[in-house]
Amino acid sequence: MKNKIEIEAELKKTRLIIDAQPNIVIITDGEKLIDANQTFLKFFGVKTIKDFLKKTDCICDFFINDGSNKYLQKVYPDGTRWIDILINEPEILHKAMVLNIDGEKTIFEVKANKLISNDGIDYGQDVVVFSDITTMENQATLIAEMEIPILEINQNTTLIPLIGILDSVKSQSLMENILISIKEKTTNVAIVDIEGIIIVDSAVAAHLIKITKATKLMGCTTILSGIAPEVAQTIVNLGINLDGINTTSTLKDAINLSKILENEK
Amino acid sequence: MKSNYLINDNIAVFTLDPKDKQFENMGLEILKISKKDFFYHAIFDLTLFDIISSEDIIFIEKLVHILKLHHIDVIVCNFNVYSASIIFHFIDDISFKTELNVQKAIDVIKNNKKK
Repeated sequence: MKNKIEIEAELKKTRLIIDAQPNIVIITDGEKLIDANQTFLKFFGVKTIKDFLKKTDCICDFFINDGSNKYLQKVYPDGTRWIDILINEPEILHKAMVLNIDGEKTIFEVKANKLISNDGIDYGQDVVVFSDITTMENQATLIAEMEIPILEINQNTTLIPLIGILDSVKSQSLMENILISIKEKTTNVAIVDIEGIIIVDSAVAAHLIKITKATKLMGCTTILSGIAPEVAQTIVNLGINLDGINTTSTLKDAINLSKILENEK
Repeated sequence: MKSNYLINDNIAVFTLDPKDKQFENMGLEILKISKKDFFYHAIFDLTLFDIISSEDIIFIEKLVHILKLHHIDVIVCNFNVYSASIIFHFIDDISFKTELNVQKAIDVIKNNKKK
């Protein structure tokens, strides 16, 4: 059996470990803050939890809803509380947008666990960890908002270098931009370079196939370039059929092929 | 048939009228014109189609197949950007040749003739 001094020393040590965390760690019953670490106090510019509780009961009062439904809300229209969502859907990436003391928006990845002891005692409280992902989120938004350039190689050929992630929204807008460019510049060959695409899965391949078919409708031949060996293997393993689509491993090969296709016309 | 056409140098350019989708003997009518005015190549201009639906594609494919039976080569052109960007959400593929506009279609036919 440990004596009182030993237990107090252990508690202090545990407290120090929690306070040293760069992430915000809190204990809550979903409505009222029970405990929190130093990072939490620093974020909200208060010295003690009592100071925070003088302002409001719950961190959820600082959640911002930008209308996108991407971020946690204090209470959902069906009455579900934010903490219930976190506990019931642990496999989903939950994000919260919170205002700090300077009025700046900070985006957190939020994870929660029920506070249950090793011998199964449920304290009716939850441990919630808020990890700051603002920089990552801002970068992701910036990349998503960057318009894909359509570069003119010569009078009849354009180059579209793709980077990052190709989702359905980006793909549809890309397709429209390529088609407008074909119409305006009377392009015969479009080279879509996919070397900068992070993941090429069946969804991305389907987008690329649609783009290729749509350009063909406008009388333009599309070449998919920059297909790395790993991507080629993935395409075959996924059973994706790229028959009838011109593909090359490098941009250099694609430009050479575009000249041949141009002469054929 | 509501569609207008113009024949020059054995190439017939049909400006397809969307109302002709209701005209069952459209293919037959075009074949009659081909017998009378003697053309081997046809260009279907879709300028009058504001939105091209999957039904329109079926209509065009049917015409192309009928003309193919009489060795008439068809190129379809002037798809609008909006239709081209959404049509493959509804259909898998198309079986006919396409070009950007009438001029490009004529160029392709003339280049093939030279070859």
